[in-house]
Amino acid sequence: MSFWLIQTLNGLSFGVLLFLLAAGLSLIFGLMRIINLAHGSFYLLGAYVAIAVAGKTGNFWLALVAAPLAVAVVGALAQRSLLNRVADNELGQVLMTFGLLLVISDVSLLVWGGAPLTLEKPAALEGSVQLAGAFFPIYRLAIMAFGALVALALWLFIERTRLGAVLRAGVDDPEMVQGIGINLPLVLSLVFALGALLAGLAGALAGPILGAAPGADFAVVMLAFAVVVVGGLGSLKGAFWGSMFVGLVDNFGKALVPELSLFTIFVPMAMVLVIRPTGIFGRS
Amino acid sequence: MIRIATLLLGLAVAALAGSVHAQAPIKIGVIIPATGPFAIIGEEVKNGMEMLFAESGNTVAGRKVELIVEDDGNKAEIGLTKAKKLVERDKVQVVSGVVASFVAYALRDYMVSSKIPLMITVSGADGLTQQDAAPNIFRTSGSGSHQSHVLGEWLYKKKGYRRMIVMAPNYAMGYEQTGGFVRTFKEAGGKIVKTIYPPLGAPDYGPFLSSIDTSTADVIGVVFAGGDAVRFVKQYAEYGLKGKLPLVGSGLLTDDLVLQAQADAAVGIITALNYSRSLESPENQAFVTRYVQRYKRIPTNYAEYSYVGARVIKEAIESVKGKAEDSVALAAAMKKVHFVAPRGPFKFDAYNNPVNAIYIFQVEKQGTTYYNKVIEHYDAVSQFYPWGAKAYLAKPKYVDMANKWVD
Repeated sequence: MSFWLIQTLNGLSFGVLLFLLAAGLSLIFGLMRIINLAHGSFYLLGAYVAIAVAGKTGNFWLALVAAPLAVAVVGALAQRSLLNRVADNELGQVLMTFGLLLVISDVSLLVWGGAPLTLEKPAALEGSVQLAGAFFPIYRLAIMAFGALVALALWLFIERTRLGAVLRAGVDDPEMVQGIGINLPLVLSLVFALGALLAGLAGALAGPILGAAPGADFAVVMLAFAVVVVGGLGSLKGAFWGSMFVGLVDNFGKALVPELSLFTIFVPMAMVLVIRPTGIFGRS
Repeated sequence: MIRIATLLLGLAVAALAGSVHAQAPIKIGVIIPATGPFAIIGEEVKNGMEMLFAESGNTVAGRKVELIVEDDGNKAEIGLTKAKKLVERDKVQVVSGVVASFVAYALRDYMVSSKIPLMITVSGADGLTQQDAAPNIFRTSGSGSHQSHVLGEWLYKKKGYRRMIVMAPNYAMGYEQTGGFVRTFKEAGGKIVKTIYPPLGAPDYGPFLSSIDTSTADVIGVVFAGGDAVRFVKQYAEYGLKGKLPLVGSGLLTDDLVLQAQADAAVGIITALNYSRSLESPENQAFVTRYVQRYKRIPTNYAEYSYVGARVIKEAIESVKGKAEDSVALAAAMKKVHFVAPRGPFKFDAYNNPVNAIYIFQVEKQGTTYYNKVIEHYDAVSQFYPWGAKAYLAKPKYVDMANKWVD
């Protein structure tokens, strides 16, 4: 009993981190029609900035606010100064994000060195609780609660605000959106910054669990790709359910058949691709 | 007339070239990953090599020494290209460094046919100094299982453990480093109750850790390195396993690269390795002091391995009186080098793997820093301990045994 409970919680808490990553990836794709290969770099940058801020100030909460904002600024700058130049060339944009990935990873190596770093948890979230006789880290429970709030806020933003309506309209018919006088390039920058912000937030939140080290960008972004393939690109709902699905499948796969742990993620992904190439919630 | 002049000019150029050749620097190639996840190890390798030669004014046996550092990008094919470039274009006398085992294996055949000595200072892949050993391939770090053999025996005899769970990343390094202590633990009479091999770089160990049933074992033996080691040790504590099931492992689990980041979660962990910066010998204290002065940080075992590798190269060049172009003689001289290293007495076995002390460490906290305290040491341990080369090589390889340990 405790085994299933703890493993489910594990899967959900990891799923929440994946959701923050995949939501950004999916939003950017929805509007700009490009896969942002640098998305993992934004995640890692978020973790590094959070560690740096927490190291300087000793304040975890400040780090949690500062890191996503800093990454959002980097994202916005990258979009305005680089991606904009090849705006009509999707392949060019994807290549640009790949270049961005390489640059960010080398600059991080230069600034933070290659030694693995971790973010200290706030004292209030230190330790574990006992659930049905097994231990579960408090911090992971907090991540789940926080992630649920972010998901709700994102949903409200996209479904209930004017800017959200513009975003949705931009996904459906970019030309018409421009035709009625909306500054679409500005909206694109905002979305790119928002995606980067979410990835940076995921990095900062994951800092105490997964830490920051060169290579973490690739490891995590692979899972985020699996999520958007399963859930469907460009859909927030898809990113959410895809994350929960991948988080749980990944977790039970590892716990029950550790030898097959990569298999258990990518086989469901391949099956979804075969049966529904647009993903479960994707639109063709 | 013109012909004679040309001839004379030719002679002069040849003579000049000859004298330049006599004073030409000795070139040593250093292959490291300067980018990617092992970049920090690459930097330590470079530092260790540089420091040793800098201490003798970059001059050995009257000749200048020049290090040519190449980045293998942590990829086998790039490593091989760089080795060829070093040997054929730069005409180096020794190739050194090499961190990842797949890079080391990719270089092996080429280096053997080139006869140029290859001084591996990090990669632990067992085969390179066992089945695939060659007269010009050397290693100063130690084979993967080398460090672990004494640990399994010690855990059974001194700690009284009888049932062990094993966990390691699912590739050669994990299999060899855990295999070493598993084999001696089993031969002493212990049982392996479960083996778990998560994929390399698994971002989250939560699911593996929460599937461990602590009532079935009295110890868990693992190996993880770098960022994996930091995450694993921290998560082990978070899932309430620390204090319930003693955590032991191969030395990379809490080496000086990762220990400060693991912090309190690492206290009490027992590991085995041939070096830590906390060793109290005068040789090591002097090494650490000089390293800290030069690089403003504490040295890791990788820096020591490369410092020792550089010293072997230096002493061999001295013993062939600077004639480093004679690769066969140089390799033969390298094999004979022995001295007291920061880690303690050092020499090569018949397969060019080090024979040195192996220390059993336990992590302790002192003020705000964490260090590996020596709680036991075994002197002059070879990679074939305790069986001897012939009996050891007759046993199946650890990579083939990984899924067969459970009784």
